[in-house]
Amino acid sequence: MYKLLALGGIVVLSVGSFMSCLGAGALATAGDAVLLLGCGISTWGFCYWQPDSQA
Amino acid sequence: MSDYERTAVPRDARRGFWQITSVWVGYVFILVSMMAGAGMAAGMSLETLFWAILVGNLFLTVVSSLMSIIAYKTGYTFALICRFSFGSLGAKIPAIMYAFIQLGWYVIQAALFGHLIAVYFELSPFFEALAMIASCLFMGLFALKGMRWMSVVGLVSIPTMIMLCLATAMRAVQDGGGWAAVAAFSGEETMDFMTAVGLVLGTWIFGASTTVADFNRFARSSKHVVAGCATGLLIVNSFIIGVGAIVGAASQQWDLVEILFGLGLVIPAFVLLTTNLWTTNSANLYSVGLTLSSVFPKTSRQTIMIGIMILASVLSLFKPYEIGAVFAMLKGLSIIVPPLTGIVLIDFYFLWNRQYPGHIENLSFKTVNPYAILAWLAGIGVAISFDIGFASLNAMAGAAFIYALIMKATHLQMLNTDNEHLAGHQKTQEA
Repeated sequence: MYKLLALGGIVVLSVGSFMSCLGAGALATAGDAVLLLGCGISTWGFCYWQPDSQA
Repeated sequence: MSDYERTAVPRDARRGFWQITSVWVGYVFILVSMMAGAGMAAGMSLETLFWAILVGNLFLTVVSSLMSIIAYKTGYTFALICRFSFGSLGAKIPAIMYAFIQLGWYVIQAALFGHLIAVYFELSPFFEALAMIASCLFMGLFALKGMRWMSVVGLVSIPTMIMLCLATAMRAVQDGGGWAAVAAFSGEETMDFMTAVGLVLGTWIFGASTTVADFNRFARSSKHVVAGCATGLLIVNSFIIGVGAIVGAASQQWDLVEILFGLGLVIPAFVLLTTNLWTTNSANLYSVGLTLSSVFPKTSRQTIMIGIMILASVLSLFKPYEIGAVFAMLKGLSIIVPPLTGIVLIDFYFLWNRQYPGHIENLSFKTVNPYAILAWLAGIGVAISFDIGFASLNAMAGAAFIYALIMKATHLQMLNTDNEHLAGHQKTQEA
């Protein structure tokens, strides 16, 4: 589940990045929210799962 | 909480490729590199600049890989590695210099972030000072916890920064009249190719030859080490300087803070600058903590780092983020640090035959190796005296050559007689 949150969060913040930088008006504002949400979700996920964390 | 600051990292504590690389790439992904790219774009054509970026980062990748392999094989921090060439007390000299420079970078970047907050919220000088102080304190929090927490920061920040850089560049090009207009931009031709390569080298010669060891000592294989170095420097650093150059060419400005605000990208600006400054500064402070732990063995790493954070808060009030101070430091580092790296590399790969003894906590070293210090100064002298090629390379090669020559001629042993059985590896013992 945490792997899904971590990687899914990256996808969400990626979408938000382009929305906020390339969009205008409401789209850009929504993009800002999506970007911040994606950062939060991926941080939550990576706190409990990290790639190649198995020895 | 120990992060193996005074011993080798044991095999069962080593970490995977992405965990190490996320910290290293996060470290490399830095606002100052973008500013350097924007500043260089104002002084030369984009085509020349991109070649300078590629050549400079290729050289940095080679240096960082060689240093990282030493750290991976031994599990030692950079400060501990220096003992084999500089001696137990002599190693404190580069360590203190190293910590001083890292502190300088930490202060510049934290102050820059505070400045950003002050510009956007139109704060008075008093509140700008408070913002800079708060930046210095908050940016060090993850470094206090160690590598695992820094990995979290890196794993989140890197994709965020990449996406925001791409989106920012696309927006800047779009607003600047399209790619054809940006590609046709040419700076005032005030900077030549060699100077530009020297500046690229200066952006990371320090970290590529010193700090990289503090992260890659946790690596599990030499392949991971080399791949990580290439990812951080050849790919990411080239990318970040290039993005800075494109945005600078599109906007004809060097101040990235003003560029981002001018584009109306407020939230993305804050997210981008927070992530890249936070990751790099965490790594800076972490490395300072490790280094000064070897200089002051009776003080814990956490206590040292808290002290540094407080000191940095005071120094940030002098506003070091102005471009003049940044470029002056970059140019200075390109001459002072490489001789040190040259000495360490020749010592390990040539004089010690690629194998330092283990269990450094049980080894007894000579106090000072005056020949290492002499070679270091000579390397700086070579860089200043020879106006051919790249000053960094000249300094590194000059110091390495002089050091090897003197050590072979004098047959100096760096381990004391009670560790004589370990000194057999050192080639200076051969007739």
